[in-house]
Amino acid sequence: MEIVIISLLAGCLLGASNIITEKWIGHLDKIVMAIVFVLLIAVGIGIGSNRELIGNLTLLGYKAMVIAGLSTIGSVFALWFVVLKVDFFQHHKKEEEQL
Amino acid sequence: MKMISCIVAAVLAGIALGWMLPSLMNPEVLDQVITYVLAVMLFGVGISIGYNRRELVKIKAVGWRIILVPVAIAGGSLLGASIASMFLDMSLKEVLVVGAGFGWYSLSSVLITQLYSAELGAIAFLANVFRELMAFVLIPFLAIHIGKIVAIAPGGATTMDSTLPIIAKMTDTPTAMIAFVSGLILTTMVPFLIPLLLAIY
Repeated sequence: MEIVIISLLAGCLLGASNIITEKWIGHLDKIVMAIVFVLLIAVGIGIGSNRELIGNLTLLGYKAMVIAGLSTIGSVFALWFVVLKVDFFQHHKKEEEQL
Repeated sequence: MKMISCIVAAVLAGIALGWMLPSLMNPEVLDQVITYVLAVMLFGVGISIGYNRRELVKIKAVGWRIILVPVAIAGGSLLGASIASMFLDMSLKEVLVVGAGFGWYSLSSVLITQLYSAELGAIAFLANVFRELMAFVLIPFLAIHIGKIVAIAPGGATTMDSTLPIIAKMTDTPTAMIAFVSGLILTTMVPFLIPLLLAIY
């Protein structure tokens, strides 16, 4: 657990420093993507090698659907509420008036 | 859409591999190796996040209240997910962690599988894929019927990449810019939020 947070923070510091240039970031994204694919295969292996999990895939899908649906709806309503209270383009309108 | 099919294919390939060779996952050595691979990946994700601070200058262009957009999306997602624990045989922590993926299925599933369980990792993968798919349907609907800004919400962390083109098409440039910054902030939150939520209890 610790190693995960530490490497993430170390990466943030390195990325925020001026050592990293745009050319690097392009390569980096490709490398990260490749590692993500390897890890996704590992996620699959974790599911596939667990017979109990495979048998329960429809139940897992149902749970995933409920959580996905509720969290999406929650985010829509929360943002809708905020939009009713705050005018996000006020700043722009002021600028336009000044012009 | 091409990306999502590649990713689903990778997971399916893994499932097939694990099904045929169930002993592959058992050795603790492999588990250790994966943790290190995960650490390397997060180091890379961290570099991107750190580098992105340059992108955050865009916040100034839209004004600071734009921060309220990702905050509302994050809060609403977690609140919605927490309601799910009332219907499902899952603890509050589990549903919150899944909801905290904000649609970033690759990272959330990998993190949760490694730090918690293969079962919750599988749920996180499916839930966050569903969220992205729902976003593709909801964004046009919300943009037309409710409002441009509200259309950013379903995309969650994906509004800085995969769902940005649709937002740009269905809304306008200022909204697309807010969507990008919101996605950037949510993307930054995910790798921190998931381990933290798993560590809290």
